Amino acid sequence: MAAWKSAERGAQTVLLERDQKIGIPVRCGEMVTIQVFEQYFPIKEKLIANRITAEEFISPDFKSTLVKKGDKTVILERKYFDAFIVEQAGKAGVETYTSADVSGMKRIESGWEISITHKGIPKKMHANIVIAADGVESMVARWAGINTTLSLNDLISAAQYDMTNLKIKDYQHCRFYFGNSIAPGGYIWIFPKTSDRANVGAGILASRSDGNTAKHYLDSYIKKHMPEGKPVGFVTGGIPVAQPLKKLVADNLLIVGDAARLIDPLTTAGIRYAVLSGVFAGEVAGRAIQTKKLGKKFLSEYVRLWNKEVGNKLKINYKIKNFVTTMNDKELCRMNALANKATSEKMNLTNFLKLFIKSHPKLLADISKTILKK
Amino acid sequence: MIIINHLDCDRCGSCVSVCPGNALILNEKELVYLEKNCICDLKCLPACPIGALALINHEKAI
Repeated sequence: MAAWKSAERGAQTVLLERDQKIGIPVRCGEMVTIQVFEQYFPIKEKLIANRITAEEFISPDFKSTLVKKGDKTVILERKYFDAFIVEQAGKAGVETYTSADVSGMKRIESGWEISITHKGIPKKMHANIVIAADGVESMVARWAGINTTLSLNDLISAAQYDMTNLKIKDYQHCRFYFGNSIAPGGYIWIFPKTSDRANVGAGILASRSDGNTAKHYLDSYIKKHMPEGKPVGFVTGGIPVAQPLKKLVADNLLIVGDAARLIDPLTTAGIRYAVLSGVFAGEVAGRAIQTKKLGKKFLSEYVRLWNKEVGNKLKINYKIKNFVTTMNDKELCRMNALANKATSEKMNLTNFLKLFIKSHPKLLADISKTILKK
Repeated sequence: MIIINHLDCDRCGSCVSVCPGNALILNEKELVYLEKNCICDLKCLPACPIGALALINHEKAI
């Protein structure tokens, strides 16, 4: 996304991808609200696997809260979605190198010298600006002297099957199962693509690991509740549920998406924030190249655009995440009962969260501090 | 030191994200362990979604 927008602004742009194919394997639950994209590009039907009409949140007592969605929540086919983005980038003039393993970065006067191994051959490249979009495991920001190390409290360790042969009732509903014996500090998700196929995953907060892995919790759930299902694919992943990095820019450098920890730590929604940050960073980088203003001061326009669009929502949700992930099963059931009451009164998620925060004075005080700090 | 079960490792990078010493690095083909960078804080173990990492030589860790 960042490469596409940077090239659109006239910058000579190279996209370096470590894997052989961009977007493969798909390390993603693929659920997203597409509203945010539509102001930047149209979403073709072939990029969408399923349209979601409701989300169900199921607490340890197996009571469910149903939250109806508009017509903008979908399960994407990420392999097509990512290919579409790369195609648009190519049309804008981006040169893409796949199997390009970046192994280091050094400051030079004009920007960065980047060491890569491309299809087995070592090379050096020079860039006036680097946009770090290298995911949860980001090394680029570290090479630039920015500490991106996550604490175990800020990492969801996740595993997911692409499953078929399922019998999904209401296949336009996404389901989330909470509980400390189901997935400590996280949840099990079922995101259907059709009535018999779904992404079924488990994420646990790494700090709450009891020696059992996310795959263990996922397999246990499937064995008990979906024994008829047949896995046709399996992926693992790390989801950074941290606060955004304190520094999103440095001289000649911008950091986006999971690499910048721009993800909703409460819902783990990441696609929309990756797209948004990519658009903003790409446009600012493109302008910086055109005007030859490559310093932190000019690139900070990216931070301004980000804050204008997202504000301190992620910081507030980080506080709520820290609170929710310490709740025991009884408290989780109480929270779900409150959510149920809120939905029956036709409250939206924002109003429910306000109600939830108000009913927990310690959390309210913590969030008030975050808002005042802004 | 840490050993990696390369048959299980899915190269997701979860362990890399929590490693403070850059002892775990992903390249195009596999996860690489650099023992000289390892401070043995063992955060990589619970970060792995599949249990592909294990500790050996426990004395050093203590």
